Amino acid sequence: MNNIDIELKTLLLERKDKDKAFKLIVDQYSKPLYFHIRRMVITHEDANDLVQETFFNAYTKIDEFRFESSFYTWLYKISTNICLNFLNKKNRSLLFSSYSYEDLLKDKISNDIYFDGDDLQKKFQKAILTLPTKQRTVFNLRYYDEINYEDLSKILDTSVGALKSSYHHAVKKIENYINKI
Amino acid sequence: MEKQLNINKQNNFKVPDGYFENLNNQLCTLIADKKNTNKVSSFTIFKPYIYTAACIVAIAITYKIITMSSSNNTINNTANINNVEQYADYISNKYYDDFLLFDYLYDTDDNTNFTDTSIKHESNNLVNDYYILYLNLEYELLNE
Repeated sequence: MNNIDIELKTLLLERKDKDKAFKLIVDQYSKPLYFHIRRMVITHEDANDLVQETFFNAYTKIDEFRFESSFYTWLYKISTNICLNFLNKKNRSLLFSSYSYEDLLKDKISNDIYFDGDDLQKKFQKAILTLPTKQRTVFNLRYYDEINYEDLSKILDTSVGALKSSYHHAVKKIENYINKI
Repeated sequence: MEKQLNINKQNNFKVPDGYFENLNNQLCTLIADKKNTNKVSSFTIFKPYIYTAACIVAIAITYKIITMSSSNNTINNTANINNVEQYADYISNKYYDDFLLFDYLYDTDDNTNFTDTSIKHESNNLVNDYYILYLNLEYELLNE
């Protein structure tokens, strides 16, 4: 349990100060959660909506959290589920189209005013978007957020072995994509 | 991974100026709004119960109206009966298909072929004295 978790536990379980605890959570986790969501949904507008949904869900369910696991894995789990639901919904709306929602996101990267990467970075993001959604989640959380496999396992409800394999294959796919173009 | 791809692990996604500074306020406002919305929406919890109660009342009123009208019909029917013969006709018509009445009539006279279902009770001369007596008694009881 890290210092933030200890402080949150004191605020929530002993002082019953939910609002102050929530402010601490927002200050501490808004940036990493926003960028985790942003890497999944690409556009700032969608990321803004989903980060608000994440924190709102966290606020409403915070009383159920018993500090049996670290708080950040719980938050990442909420945000990841929200992202996956969002992307599934978008893809369902394109069920009869010849392209997927990820194809649309590739175009959005090229035109996004809030993305300042060079061509190689754009290519890298497009390569990540070729991955299946769950594998993309594993890759982003491991590569960018540097979350260890044990915590990843809790976030994604997947075994460590499967996650390692998924990440390894993701790296290979991205490498192939970049070298091919 | 970085060595393999030779790509800097940098964050190229940007946000509007002052976004994170305002996010806290946005979230606090959102939660306050949702709390208010939830207070209002708590009334919607009672909606199904209100609708169910309304349906039950409507069914009860409908049932009451139907039973009242049918009892009025009964009163009108009995009001037209002035003598035993009319009452006998009324009973015969009412219980024309009544199996028990048929059995009763059949048992009263074994020599009569009452198994013929074409027999009309109201025109049957074989209704015995006991049946007439029974009707008389019932008629008297009804008019008491």
